[in-house]
Amino acid sequence: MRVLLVEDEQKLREQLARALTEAGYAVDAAADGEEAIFMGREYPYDLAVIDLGLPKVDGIEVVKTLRKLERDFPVLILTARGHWQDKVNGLDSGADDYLVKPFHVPELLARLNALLRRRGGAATPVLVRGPIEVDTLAKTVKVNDAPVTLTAYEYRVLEYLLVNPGKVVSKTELTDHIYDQDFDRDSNVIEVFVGRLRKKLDPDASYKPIETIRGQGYRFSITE
Amino acid sequence: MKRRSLNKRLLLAAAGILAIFLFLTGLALERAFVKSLTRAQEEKLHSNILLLIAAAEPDALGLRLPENFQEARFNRIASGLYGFIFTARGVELWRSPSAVMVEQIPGAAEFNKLPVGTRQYGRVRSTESEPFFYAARGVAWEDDDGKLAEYSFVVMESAVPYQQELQEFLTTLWVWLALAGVLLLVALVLVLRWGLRPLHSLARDVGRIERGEVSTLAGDYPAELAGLTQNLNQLLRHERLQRERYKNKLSDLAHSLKTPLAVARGALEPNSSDATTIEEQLQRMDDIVQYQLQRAVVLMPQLGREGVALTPVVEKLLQAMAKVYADKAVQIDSKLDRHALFYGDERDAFEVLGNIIENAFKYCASQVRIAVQSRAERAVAIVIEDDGPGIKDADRALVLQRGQRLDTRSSGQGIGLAVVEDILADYDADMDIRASTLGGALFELNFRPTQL
Repeated sequence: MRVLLVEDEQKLREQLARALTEAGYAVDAAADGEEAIFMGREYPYDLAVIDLGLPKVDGIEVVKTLRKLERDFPVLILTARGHWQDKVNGLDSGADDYLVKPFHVPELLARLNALLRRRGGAATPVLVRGPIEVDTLAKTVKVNDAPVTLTAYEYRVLEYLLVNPGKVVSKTELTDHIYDQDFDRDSNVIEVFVGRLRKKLDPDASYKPIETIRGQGYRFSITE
Repeated sequence: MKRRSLNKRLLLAAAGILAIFLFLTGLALERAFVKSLTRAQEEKLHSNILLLIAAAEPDALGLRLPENFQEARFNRIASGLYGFIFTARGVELWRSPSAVMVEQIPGAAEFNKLPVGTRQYGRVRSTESEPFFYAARGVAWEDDDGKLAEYSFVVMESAVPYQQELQEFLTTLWVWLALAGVLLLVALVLVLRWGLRPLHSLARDVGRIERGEVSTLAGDYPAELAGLTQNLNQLLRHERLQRERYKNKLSDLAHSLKTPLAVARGALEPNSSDATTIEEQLQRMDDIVQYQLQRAVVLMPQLGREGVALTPVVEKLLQAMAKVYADKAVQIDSKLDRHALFYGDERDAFEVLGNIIENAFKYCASQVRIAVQSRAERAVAIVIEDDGPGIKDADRALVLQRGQRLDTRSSGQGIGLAVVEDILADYDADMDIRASTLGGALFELNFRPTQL
């Protein structure tokens, strides 16, 4: 999952970026409102964390602009002033949740996870698809109750396919959502990731969870 | 741009009105005078004609008039009053002794053939450019043989005296009016100075307050200013109270931060490395700062006397909470009175209702009920209920304790409700916590706007 992080204070931005990367997100960080709008317009994100007090363009304006550009990914706003009117205005502008500074990083991660889940239509952080069980909070995978070890990128590919059930996802789309903008991409690597995922999730090729649609991309075929 | 002073405004307006008023008065008087003078002149000339007619006696040549007249000016040469008689054919039959020197009768052609019984009056200019008034009358005379002969009697009088009289009147009139105007203006300046004196003294008194010489406006002000000075005094009182409150809050904040700071510093001693203690103290300091920040919203409770409609505030909060707690799919049952007004700061309404409504959403199982009802005399009742676990009796009393400093409150108690209690205390409003029929907690708030 690729997340846009907008925070003007460098220390906090770096801290959050590190925490989000550790939690398995591909993170793009912006330091002001203008940059945030530019990035939100240019890249496909699955999630955004936006501070309300930003230089150049304030956070509420950023959220409004992104919504006007029909960017419908969930947005969580951070606010230093815990006033209700600020919270209500933020949510009114198109944000989906808020967090008052200072906060604990696990709290932020739990809220982001909940937003993603809500978007994918899942009620719990644990997604079960046939024999495959994915805990989106702990980032762990089990097949037939036996834990499977995935690399960070393999996990990201699997999670993205899972939250888009039944949808054909192209290699470019996968690349866009598992890497941040600074990464040197190579869409051929996706084939390698998918190959390894298939081997780890379905070593006997008995239920083929990931289909290849020729010329279009991949699809997670177990919908329930 | 600096606004013109009250004094100047009033003077300018009054001077303008006065000028227009005096000008119109003068004009009306002038007109009336000219009219009556002209009429008098006409009457005079006609009566002179009657004088001539009465003096005329028919004789062989036509008419004969005496040598001397009662009106002496007919007798004196070039007296300015002249009489003439013309025959029907336009031939001059007679002229008064005064008119001996008159060579040409101005406008004679016009009035020497008047039909019998008609009268004429007007003004002509003689060749010497001396203006004349004239009156003429057509008369039929029966002579001794019973034959009718027609004549025109004409009397002319110089207009110079008339003009002089008029001029004199006008000069007198305008000079007096101008004098009256100046007098009125002077009176106005004095009246204004006297009338505005309380304002000057008010400004002086406010200045003394600014310099700290006095604390309230104690002067004896006229009724019109009493409202203003009362409000100013209230504002000052309020301001002082507010300052006092700020001072208390600030020292509260400083003192309450000192304890956790001391504990945290202790935990940093070389032989102790207690990360949880530091974390706990940081949390405590964060709570304190958060609380004071939220409380800083309340600036001037009772002074924002304008009513804030509560329904939009509640609706916005419900919408926001429905979004945040979308996972719970909370069923909202709201009964909102559109006329319910909160007499205070809108931000306070947001803080109070936001905290309670958020709690309801956080703790409910699936249902939140909210009712806003306006009562008599600008009072408002708000009831918020949920179907969560509710609040135990012992905890209720704790929540309802007023005026506790945050660091003396027991831990685990939400900052939200502390802020709510604090704001309600400022508004002198009641909060009651009971068990809801839904199974959870019921918060009832009662606002009664106290009179300032």
